[in-house]
Amino acid sequence: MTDRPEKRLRLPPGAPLPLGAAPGGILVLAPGEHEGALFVEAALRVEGEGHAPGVAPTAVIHAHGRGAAVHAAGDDCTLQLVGLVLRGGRAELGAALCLDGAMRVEAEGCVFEAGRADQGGETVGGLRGALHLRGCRLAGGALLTGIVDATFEDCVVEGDLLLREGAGLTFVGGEVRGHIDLRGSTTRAPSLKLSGGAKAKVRNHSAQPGAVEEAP
Amino acid sequence: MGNAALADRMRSGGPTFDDGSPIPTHQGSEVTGSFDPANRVARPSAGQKGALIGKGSEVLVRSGKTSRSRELGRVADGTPCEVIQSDGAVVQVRLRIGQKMVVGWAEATAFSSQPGMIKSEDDPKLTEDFPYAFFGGDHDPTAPKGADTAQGALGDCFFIASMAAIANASPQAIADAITFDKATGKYTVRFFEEARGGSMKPVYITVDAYLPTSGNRADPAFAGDPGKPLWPAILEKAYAQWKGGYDVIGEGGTGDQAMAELSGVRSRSKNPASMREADVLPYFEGAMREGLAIYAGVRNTGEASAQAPLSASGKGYAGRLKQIHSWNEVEPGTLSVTDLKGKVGVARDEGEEGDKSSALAGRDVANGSIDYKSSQLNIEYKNGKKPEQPSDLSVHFEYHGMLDPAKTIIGNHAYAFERVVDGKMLQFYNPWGSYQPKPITPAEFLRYFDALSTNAVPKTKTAR
Repeated sequence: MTDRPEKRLRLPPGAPLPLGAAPGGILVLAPGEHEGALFVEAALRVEGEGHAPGVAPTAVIHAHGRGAAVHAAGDDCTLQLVGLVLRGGRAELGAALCLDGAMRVEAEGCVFEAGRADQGGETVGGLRGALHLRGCRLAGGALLTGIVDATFEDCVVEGDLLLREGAGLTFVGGEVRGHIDLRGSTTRAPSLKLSGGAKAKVRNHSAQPGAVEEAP
Repeated sequence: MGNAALADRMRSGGPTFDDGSPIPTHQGSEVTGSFDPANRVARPSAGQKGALIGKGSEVLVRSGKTSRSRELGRVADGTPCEVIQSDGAVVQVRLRIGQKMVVGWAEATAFSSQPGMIKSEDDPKLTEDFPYAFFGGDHDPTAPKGADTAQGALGDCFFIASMAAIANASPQAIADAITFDKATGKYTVRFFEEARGGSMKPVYITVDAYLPTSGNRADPAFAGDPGKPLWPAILEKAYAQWKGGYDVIGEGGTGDQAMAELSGVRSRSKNPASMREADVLPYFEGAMREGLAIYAGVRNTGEASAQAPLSASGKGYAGRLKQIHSWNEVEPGTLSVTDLKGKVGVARDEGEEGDKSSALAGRDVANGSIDYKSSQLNIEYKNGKKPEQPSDLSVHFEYHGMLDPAKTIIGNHAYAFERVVDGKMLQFYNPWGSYQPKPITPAEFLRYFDALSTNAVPKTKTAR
């Protein structure tokens, strides 16, 4: 792996992903597989080369079982992911994308493929910070827990979407093919807002339920 | 354990170390006097989890509310249950009697609120047969340390390893977390909950000293072992109560969150995959210098390739894959059979997590199967398709269990970091309290570990 990307760095397939991100840096990943997990603690934009709305992404970050494919752990910064496939992760929380820093992650037109996660976040896992996904496909389940605030806009979640602890989710349009499953602790409850014709079956815990709001 | 309790223990002639100081122990003991330390509730509510605690006696369960109703059975003191409804002096509960879950009525005074029990490993329709028993003594942690922890039959290694890491970095933090109330016989545990904006607010959870036991009523089924201090079991029970049950925390969690909940300070995570080998020792040495609690998680599986493991058998090929440890099993969905000369196409197993066996599929496959537990593999190709030699077939698969038998590194497991050994090796602690790993090199750390968190736990006494 290289140390840090320049402000804008194009990586051909097979080129190592950088260990850290230069604040404000842009990584452009050429179509093909890019090996390695990306650990992000500073502002960064990662985009698949030639990405376009409605076109399946072809630039792949493959973790090969070594943590989350992208792990966002910084504070007070933003990570943007555009037109990427995140694949092959294994993690405690969020195999494709793990957000446990107090930062913001925005993803557009990405595919999060199922890896293996200890608690159910086979694609995306969030513990704190803010997560905004637009037009993304989550090819498996996701887990939002702790105090993460998430918005999923026109996204498809192919597995169960678990809302735990004090997580908040606004789900606009799109579809959850499994269930949205809410369970709080004895001291806090998750919240869910469905709108924009979102298709989802909601399963709420009987003893420690979350708050569910449905809007047109 | 406080000084008075220590003195009592010494006077009572209990077990001692070589220097005569008492070994902190806890023993399951039946409560038969008038003092009732169980967490009773005035009116049990539907859905409430708990146990029928008869203070040393079996508890009678009937089919109906009245004393004329048929006896369903007498269950062990402390049998876990869930309330369906309560009606005055009686309560209707669902509980396990023998090998069945039954619904019956018991005296409401027998009900005690307890964290929900886990499902049976053998039959998920049953709750585990782990009756609660009272554990006396050892009320205050004295010099708590990571080695006090001993995970039992609950899949909460993330929490036990977090407790061990915090105890190693700051015994004071563990001591500050637990308060014993002599008047009620109960413990209040202080945790912390992160709020939006990053502040941490204290959360106080009160539990009694009844713990799930397995077989031997002096042996906690979950955290704790006879002869080990009680504090890990009390912390674990309070954590389970807070989160919604032993079954909830048994689903897993993260060391990042658990350490923060124990210490009141946000953890910092790192992906070992983002570290170079040369970074590893300086990272751990630096964290030790700063006095940080360090938690690390091992990846779920290892990878293996078997060259020529199959021989001709009937119409096809069969063989048993050799595992590097008796615990190990093939991970569902990961196995592939490749013909090194390319005469037949690749066969892949179609299993998913939780499957015991699965079919093999591929364009040239007529029939095929893999039994994950026994690692027995059978494959039959379509007419006219076959490898030149059985030895051309190579098998690649992932396995779970013991990833490195020589170093005792267990997959899908959490560890607390202890120390750097000889300036070049890393020593971790297995929260099982047994199967301790041997020191590993930085390269081995990067090979096996996929989660890493540190926590700047306060060292000095904190106000409650």
